[in-house]
Amino acid sequence: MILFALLLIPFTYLMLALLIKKAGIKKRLALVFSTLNLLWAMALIPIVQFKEIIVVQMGGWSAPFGISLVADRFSVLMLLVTAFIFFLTTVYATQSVDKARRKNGHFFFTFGILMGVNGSFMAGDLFNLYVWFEVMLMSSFILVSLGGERKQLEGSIKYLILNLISSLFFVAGIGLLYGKLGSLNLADLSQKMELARANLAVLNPALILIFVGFAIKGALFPFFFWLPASYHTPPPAVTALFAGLLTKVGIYSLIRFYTLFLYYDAGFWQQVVLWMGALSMVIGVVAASSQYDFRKILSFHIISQVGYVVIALGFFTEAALTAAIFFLVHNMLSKTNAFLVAGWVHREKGTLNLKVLGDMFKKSPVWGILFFISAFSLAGLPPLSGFFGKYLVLQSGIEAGYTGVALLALFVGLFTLFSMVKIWLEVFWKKQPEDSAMEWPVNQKPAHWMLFSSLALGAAIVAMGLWAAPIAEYCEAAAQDLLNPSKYIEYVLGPS
Amino acid sequence: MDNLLSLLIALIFLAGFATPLIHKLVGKKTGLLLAIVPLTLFIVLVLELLQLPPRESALLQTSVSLLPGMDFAFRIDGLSLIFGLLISGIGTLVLLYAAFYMAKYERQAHFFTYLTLFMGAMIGLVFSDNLMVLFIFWEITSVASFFLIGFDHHVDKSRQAALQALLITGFGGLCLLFAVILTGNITGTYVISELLEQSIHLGNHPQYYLILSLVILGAITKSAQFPFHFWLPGAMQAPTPVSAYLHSATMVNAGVFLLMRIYPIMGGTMPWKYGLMITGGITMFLGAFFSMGQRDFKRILAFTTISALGTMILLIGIDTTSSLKAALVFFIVHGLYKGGLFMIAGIIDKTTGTRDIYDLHGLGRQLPLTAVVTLLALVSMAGLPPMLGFLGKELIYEAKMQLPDVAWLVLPLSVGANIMMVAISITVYYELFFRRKNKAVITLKYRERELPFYFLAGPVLLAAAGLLLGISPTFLELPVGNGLFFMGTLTESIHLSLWHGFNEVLLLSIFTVLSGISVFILRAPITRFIQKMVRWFDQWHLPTLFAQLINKYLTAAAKNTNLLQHGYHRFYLLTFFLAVIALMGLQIFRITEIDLPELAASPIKIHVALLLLISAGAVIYAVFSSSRLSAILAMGVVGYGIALLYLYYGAIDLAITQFLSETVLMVLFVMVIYYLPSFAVLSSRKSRLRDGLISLGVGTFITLVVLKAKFLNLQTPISEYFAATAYTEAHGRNIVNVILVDFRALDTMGEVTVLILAAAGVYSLFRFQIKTLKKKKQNKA
Repeated sequence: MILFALLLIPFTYLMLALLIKKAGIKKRLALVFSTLNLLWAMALIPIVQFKEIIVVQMGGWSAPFGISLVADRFSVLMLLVTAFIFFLTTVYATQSVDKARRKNGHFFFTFGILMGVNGSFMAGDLFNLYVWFEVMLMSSFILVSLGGERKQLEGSIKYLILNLISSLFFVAGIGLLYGKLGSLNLADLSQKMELARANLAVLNPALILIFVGFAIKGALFPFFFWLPASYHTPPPAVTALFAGLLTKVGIYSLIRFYTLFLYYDAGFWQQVVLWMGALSMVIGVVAASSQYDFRKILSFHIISQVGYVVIALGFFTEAALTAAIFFLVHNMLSKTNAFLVAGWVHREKGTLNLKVLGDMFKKSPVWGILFFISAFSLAGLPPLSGFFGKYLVLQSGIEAGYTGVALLALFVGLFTLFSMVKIWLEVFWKKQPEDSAMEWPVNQKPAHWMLFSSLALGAAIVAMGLWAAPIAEYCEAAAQDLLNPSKYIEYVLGPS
Repeated sequence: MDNLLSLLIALIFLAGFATPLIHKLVGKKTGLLLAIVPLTLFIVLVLELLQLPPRESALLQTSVSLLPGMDFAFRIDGLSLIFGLLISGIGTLVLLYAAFYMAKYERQAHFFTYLTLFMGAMIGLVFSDNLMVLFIFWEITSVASFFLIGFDHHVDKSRQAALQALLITGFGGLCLLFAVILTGNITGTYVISELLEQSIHLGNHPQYYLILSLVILGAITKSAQFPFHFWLPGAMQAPTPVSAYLHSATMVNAGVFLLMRIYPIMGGTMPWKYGLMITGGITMFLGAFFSMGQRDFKRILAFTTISALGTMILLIGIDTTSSLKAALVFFIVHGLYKGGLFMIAGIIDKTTGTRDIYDLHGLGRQLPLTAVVTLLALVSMAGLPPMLGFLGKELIYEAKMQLPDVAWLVLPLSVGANIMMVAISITVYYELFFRRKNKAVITLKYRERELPFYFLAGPVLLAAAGLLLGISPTFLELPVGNGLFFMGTLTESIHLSLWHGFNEVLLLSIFTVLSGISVFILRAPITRFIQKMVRWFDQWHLPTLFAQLINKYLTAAAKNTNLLQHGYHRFYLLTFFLAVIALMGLQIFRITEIDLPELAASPIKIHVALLLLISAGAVIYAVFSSSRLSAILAMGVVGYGIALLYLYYGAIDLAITQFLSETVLMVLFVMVIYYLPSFAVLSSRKSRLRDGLISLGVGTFITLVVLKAKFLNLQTPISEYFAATAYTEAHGRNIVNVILVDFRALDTMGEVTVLILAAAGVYSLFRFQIKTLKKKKQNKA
């Protein structure tokens, strides 16, 4: 029940929302349920500190026959950050998303995403993970296209089809793997791989298919196209939620998969992961700096930042996994907040084109500072969370002997800084060009809940920098568990 | 007493963050009030200087730790004291000065926030006892200076200058970060005290060259050395108080401090010497040379700063006890006169409304106090007695003359630079304060008497300090000696005096002054010549080049991005499949033996073969058919074929499901096709061939993979458990049903959710479209 509740909470909301018609009540319910979810996720932290790995066998069927929900420190951290981001984007959406969308199920589908994301972070079973991916995909596809504006539809088609390919690869891989090893439970599979050591190469095609499935979800090079094609089309509140959660689920799964399976054949996979990570890092940031749309810059930039996490995974030491987890959390917070600020700008000016915007710092220094915090955190400037993320990645890379990759990551940082400062200069500092200033009605409606969400995230980013030590300590404990798959196996399957 | 320093550093930051609040309370007096903080710090540091025994350092631990190994700890020693005194002292004066200077600006609260944070970061930088913490403060200075330089952010030039400064110093910062991590990785600690105590020197480590180049890059970008110097003249876009502070005691001097700080750890090797001497030498000469060709007072000063910093870097590179001593003394000298001169530039700007020295004249009578103070500061800059500048220059000459092998190159460069310094000092003074009859008297906006005392205090006190220390330089012996000790080069105490006796150094000085005067007399042709040179050099005008570089990068990036994110859906799909083939190919490549399945082992029955043949034929028909309807029907044949296969192998449930879904899909397809435009071939033959090949490739790989699968079945697959327990434990006869609703009920719940979401989604998408909503509204209106 401790874990299942995180599925039940969004599920209950879905059921209730089907029955209710009034937008106002839907909104209030959404706030209540997202708060519940957050509280529950918070309660998991002390539990996982005590139990180390929380395992729930669904329906009482012992592993590997039933489905296991498993949450170790890594999962719980992800669940908590997800709940936090979800809560804040929900609060934000109450003022940011137009009423027509809210009435037509905006919150319904965001809760679908929450259910999918929560499920993915807890899945102890390969097919179950696939199911949660589907839940996520379906809700996110509808959110991208909800409203049916022309550019939305164009983006959503690419989003849907390319992500369906991911599902196709994923499920094909599951089939092959099941055929070979006769199990779906992650722990069981990992154990059986140990026994199949001599024939590992035979398993690789199946693993490649699953890996590609995750890589598409995580928007890694060369599988990222769906992301920049679609992220700038839905309302900003939706993009913020996507940016915080969706790709990160792909990366989470990749890390989980790597530490349970792929590391057996490290000679092959380490190269693949390092190359893909490094290329994503570079290509993402170069593409980002060439853009002139607030959200497009940030979208391309997600690819680059995901690359950092993946190269850290490729280093594959305790310090590196610590760095990967820390960076992932930092990125979820900072990226979401950057999109929240974009949402505010969009609301004030009706556009996110850098060439047309200007003078937003004068308009509201507070929002300006919030953008500054998120952007400079993404660029890795101290003492914000991004600096410590970057530092941990670089440091672990150097320690593991990958000085070249680390140097690459270092200088990607400069281009990141450039693209962030570009937004700052154009949107916040520049005087708004008069000839291009659009007629946009001055928005009279209050935006204090939007500000509240962004302030909370901004505070979290700063706090993550100032209290980097205890957070890194937690991440280190999580990394230790990840590096010790036999512990995971023992907890899930019971002592052998 | 000791931990007072940590508290004070924290207090500066606190004051910085509280500035908007303070500004609301006291308004225009913000600067005056804020000045109390650095003043206190200054007094504490003076006490510390008097109290600290020679060659001792005090370590202040705090309980703040960012990450393991990254503890906030501060260290007071000779070196940090000298820098700290100048930073806090000049900082106090700059705040006072700014209180009046900025009085009419908008957003004063912002300005003072940035300035105070900048000050705090700089103080933190020089006192921190941890290389990583030092780096953090280093980066904060870069960010704070970005905000200060871009303060007038409606001006294009300001934003450009701020961006350039941030990118250049940010680049240096990244280099420094990497060097620090590498150092920490080798030595196991970032703590400066430990590094110094264990007298670790990295010179023999294989990564030394990498580390050293990174550190030097970090230092010379910050200290505006050639070819990175160009951000500094641009940085004049900042309000004058900022320039005064940036140039005199902070920012650019951070690079010098860094080199002095790590000198014991990685200094003194050949690459260190030549790397620094070359950059420093070039910068020293070019800076001085170009200052002569400028008209704007602040620009002139900016170039002399570049030159002065080049001198310091060069001196550190020369790497003898006397050169390091000269570098340290010269840092003090430069800080005192440059801070004063910038403030004077601001005063002149405020009173006359211009900074072009050739537009001004005869201010001597109108601004007598300013004239006197300027004279003192310029005398110091020119290196003439009795100012401290003279002592500084003498030490420099002495150090360079002792230089063993390359004195023949360094000395002329240095003398040349100093001649230009003398000349520019005289020129500036002459143009500003001497009266020319043929020009109209300059009208002033303020008279000197109308200026508040705290506006004038800065230059006056700084000039007085220069004079005082010049006359009795013994005050400096203790701090400079201590500072040198912590650079690990000095064993005996040092003596400083204005008069060194009649020796070749003095001769050189006299020669310098005389040449400087002749340059001044011949300034018209020389200035013309230099301006011509400047124009010639301007074809490589670095700020413009840099801006062009950024633009070029942007165009190239945009081009490549469009190549990659081209928007053609089919090519995205193509890329995906190709990438998978590539990965699979890599994998197959690694396995040496591919054992083909033994077909004989499982004889294929004739009706199965027939089924497969029919399905395959249907696929081929679907590909080549030119009618959508028949293609769909052919695909239906394939679907039914697969269902029959299921049936044949006894999976009745699956077969039924497949039949049903296939039928529904067919019906749906046929309904939709009705609405589609008629079929047309739009792609060229070539592209179809390519697509066909790729499809075949993917198909082949998947087939190979499946054939190769040779099911391992190491242990009994879990399905056997289901068969065994479905009835006994789950109480259901239909195993598939039991799996769906009991064993794996969670999957079913998820799939049900997917269906609900899909249904709700279809409903929402159909019912709700922004466009139709708008139309409805219009109709109503």
